[in-house]
Amino acid sequence: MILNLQIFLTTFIGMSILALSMRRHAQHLPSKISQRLNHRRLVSLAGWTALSMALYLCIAHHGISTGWVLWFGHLTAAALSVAFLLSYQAKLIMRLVIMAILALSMTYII
Amino acid sequence: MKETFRQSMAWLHTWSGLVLGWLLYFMFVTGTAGYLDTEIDRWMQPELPVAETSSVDEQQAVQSGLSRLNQKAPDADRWFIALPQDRNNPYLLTFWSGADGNTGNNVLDMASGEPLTTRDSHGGQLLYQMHWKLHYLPRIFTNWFITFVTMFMFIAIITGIIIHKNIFKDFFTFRPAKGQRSWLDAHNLMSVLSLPFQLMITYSGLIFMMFIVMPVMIAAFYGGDNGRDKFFEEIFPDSVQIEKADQPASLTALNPLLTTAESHWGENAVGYVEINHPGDAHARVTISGKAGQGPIRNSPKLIFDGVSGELLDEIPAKTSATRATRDVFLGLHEGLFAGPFLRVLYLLSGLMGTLMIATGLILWTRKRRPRLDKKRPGLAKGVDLVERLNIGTIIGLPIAIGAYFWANRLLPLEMAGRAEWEAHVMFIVWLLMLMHAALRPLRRGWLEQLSVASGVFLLLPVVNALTTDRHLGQSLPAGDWVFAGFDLSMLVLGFVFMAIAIKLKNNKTITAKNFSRHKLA
Repeated sequence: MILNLQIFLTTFIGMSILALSMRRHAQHLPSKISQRLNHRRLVSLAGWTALSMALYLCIAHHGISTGWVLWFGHLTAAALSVAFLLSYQAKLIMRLVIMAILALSMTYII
Repeated sequence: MKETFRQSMAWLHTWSGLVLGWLLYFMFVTGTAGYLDTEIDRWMQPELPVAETSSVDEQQAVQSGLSRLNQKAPDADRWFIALPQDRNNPYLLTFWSGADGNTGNNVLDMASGEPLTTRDSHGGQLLYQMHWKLHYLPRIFTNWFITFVTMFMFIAIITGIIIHKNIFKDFFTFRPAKGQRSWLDAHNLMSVLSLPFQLMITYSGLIFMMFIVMPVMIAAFYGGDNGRDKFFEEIFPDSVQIEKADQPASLTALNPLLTTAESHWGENAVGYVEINHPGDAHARVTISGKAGQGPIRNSPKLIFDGVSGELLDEIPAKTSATRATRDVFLGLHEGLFAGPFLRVLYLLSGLMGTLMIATGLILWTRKRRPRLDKKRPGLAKGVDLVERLNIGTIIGLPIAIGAYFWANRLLPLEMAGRAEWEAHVMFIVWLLMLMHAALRPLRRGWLEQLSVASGVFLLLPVVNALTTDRHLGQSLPAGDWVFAGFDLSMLVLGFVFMAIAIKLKNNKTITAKNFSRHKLA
């Protein structure tokens, strides 16, 4: 169960970063942060790295076949969460990403 | 001819989606419900006890099954004993079929070996099977029809990808409360975010039908009449049958055979035992292992002589790469290999696929409403027809499935043909919903059916409490998640329909008068 939580948090962080790397969605952020995101390629890379880490977790614990299927499933759930957040509570996104990173680190420490 | 490639693809996407949309919606709804078939089975037969799959005494279970079969069907041609394994196979089952075509089955109590009496119902299995067999139609028709429909689903997905400009930029985009724009965003979101699943489920659906719709491939390599049989014998070596000898001979003891299976596969690894021609000199016993982990669920098999008990053949789980390729596709489609969390993700994608179709159908009407004027009476009639079919199917079909569950609780237990009548109730209610949608003004039609849907699902746990004792008050404290989960899911569905009804009712910009002209709806 913890593993699924870790995978979901990782994909959620990845998808959020990818969303925020887009001009269209970064406009919700305060200008200080959105200016930093001008390095769009770097930010996208960070997002894809997070998604790849999630893929690694999936395959390492569930094998090749089930791993890929699980990853795609998490991607769908994470992307859907990010999309709805952006539509209804965009200001929450940064806060949730930070909380997700904290929660993820805690699951590794504990 | 359309001017550009994109316009052609848009035309193809729209027409394949529209004409077949309601049937595809039916397939997605029954497919998603079918993914929960064993849970629904158990809710619909509340006489069954909570399943015990953890501590199974294989030898005792097989002996129970055997004595039951000897008692009930000593002259049958084929006996089948399925052991309790997991969520998909929760009970000890016996099944028999005779040469005259008669069949029968029982669920046995693990402790006593006695058959459990349950109400006559086809349960969740029927919903699952409607996914590809539909209902009331001959198989020779539905096999081809379903494949045709699935092929156009595949075309609709691919053309959808082609015509979607800015598919990456739009990935997270959903702009609510903007009328037609919102419906398009919703349609895109549901499709693109679950795209790997949609491509997989559609393509693998086609693979299921490949032997039927591409028979020429087999004939080309194996020849005409007997060639097909030879092909199937090669691909499915465990299906090879031997003729009956018509000489009586007693069946060998099964316990030594189970011990042999244990020495090959380890403890608690037997899935089912199949006995062909019991009591005959040519009896055969096939012992099958449990389904493998991962999408390829093939199990190894041991084939014994039914009289001497000699091990005749061992068929490994993986036979050929060719067959494994097909089996991966089928395994991915059925999703039986998934653990509890992955199951939720499969369900999510299935629901998104269902909403993909629903939003597509609704989008079609929204787009064309502003274009309605007196010069194009044909278009007005078409939009009206589609809108009414939308109400009667998108909301009407869920109501019908709710009615199927209500019928399961309310039809008299001793009624003849009870199982068939549960299904008849479902289709009668669906027909009534379509008729209601045909007769009511559009906005009222939506609101009324949404309210009915809400009521049907919210009240179902109440009906359950009034007719059985396995209601939430009992299942929640007992940790019976099959029953509690079902009742809670019905409540969630009821609240969702209610929320949609309230949202529609409160939307002041849409009134009954401008419903069919309203540009922002």
